Amino acid sequence: MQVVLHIDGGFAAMPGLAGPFVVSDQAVAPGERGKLDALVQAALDDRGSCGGPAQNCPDGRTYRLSIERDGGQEELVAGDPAVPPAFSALAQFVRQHGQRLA
Amino acid sequence: MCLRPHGKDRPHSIFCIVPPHILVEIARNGTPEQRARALGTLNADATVRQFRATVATARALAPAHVATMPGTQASLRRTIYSAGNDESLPGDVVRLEGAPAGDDPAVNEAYDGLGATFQFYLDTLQRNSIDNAGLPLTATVHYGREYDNAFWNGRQMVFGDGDSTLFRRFTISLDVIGHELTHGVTEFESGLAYQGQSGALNESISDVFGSLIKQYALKQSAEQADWLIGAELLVPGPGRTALRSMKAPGTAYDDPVLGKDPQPAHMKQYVNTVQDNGGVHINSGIPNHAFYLAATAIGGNAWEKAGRIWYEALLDPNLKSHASFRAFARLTGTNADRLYGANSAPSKAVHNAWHAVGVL
Repeated sequence: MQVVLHIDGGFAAMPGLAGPFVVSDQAVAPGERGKLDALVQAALDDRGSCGGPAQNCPDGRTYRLSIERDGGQEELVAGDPAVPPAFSALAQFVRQHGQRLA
Repeated sequence: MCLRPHGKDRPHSIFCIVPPHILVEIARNGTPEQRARALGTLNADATVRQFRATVATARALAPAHVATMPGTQASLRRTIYSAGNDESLPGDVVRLEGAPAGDDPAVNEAYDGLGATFQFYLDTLQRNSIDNAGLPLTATVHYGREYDNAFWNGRQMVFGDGDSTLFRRFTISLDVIGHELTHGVTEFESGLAYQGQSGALNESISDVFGSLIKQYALKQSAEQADWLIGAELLVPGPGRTALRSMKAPGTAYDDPVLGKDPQPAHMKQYVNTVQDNGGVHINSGIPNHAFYLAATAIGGNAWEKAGRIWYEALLDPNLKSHASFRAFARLTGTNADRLYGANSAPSKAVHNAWHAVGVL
């Protein structure tokens, strides 16, 4: 399983910070894999709360989570200031445990 | 929809089950804390109808103090909330208008920054708050965890703490606070669409007035100003001067982690991209530099003439929501002509500035 987080826009949008964060269940510590699984499932279960890109929110950021697992891929999109808690928790995990690509 | 105004770890407030018309009464007649909570609950609702109710309530709260006629008194009403590193808005009330400063620098900076911004608009442009009708000012600090951003959500300002490695707290720069509040002014006046050139104009207008608010607070002339946006925001390091430079777009930072400032100063370098709503934070460098050129050519205090011209263009009924750079440039020209005369020095300075950046 792999999760990719793209962050777009924001007051402090900068080219060096535009690269996505990527985390793989094979790359995280064994003790964290179960947590990643749970966070992914919770975010997918709450996909109906994701309202899409930031709208009518100058300097608001848009967040895209691409989740690859079991041979399939799903994308969740949320924007400031309406980021669902389950989405936010997964995004936070990816930022903390993932690597930022150039 | 009922959001929790006091953080997710606490039970829902009674305000969550109270109908809007009762919240309006509480906001009118309650204690200061009750009024703040009621307004916060109204603010937390995402519907347009309740937003309108919030605005109407805010206006009704101070009918004896708020007016736009010269010589009448405007009233500053600030409420600062803390999200407690959660993402629920508005959060807990931490400082109301008139309350003394506390120990939290983010709260104090937000409070003082809202005050400085309100005073700038009132003193220099005779504008009474965001809506020119005394709208109370609301800000939330400590939003999210290590949140590297600040935004205007159509109702209030929101500030993150930064991650402490690249960014410091987003309340630390007065021009950032002025920038966010000016998004509200733009929304009320022109509704410039946040995409492409109109989006870059929206961003530029926030940078222009954010910088002017700082200059006014520091009593700096156009020659004395640094023309930087977010100079205090970046954690110091080699190649990190600020987020943006209106004087020299493209030179604000050059850092292994942040990358190189991509802002153009001329239409020849206009960046076509799908990211960032069409590069609104990139291409804003062009109108930003035009303002800098106009203000420094006019000389003196930038808020007096250049700022007035840009403000009148923003209020001009001919400014469309999808305006191009060229359309806005022409409106600054017609307003400079109207204010100072067709062949006046300010009018020539404005025309020359837009010509220099390749827009006219």
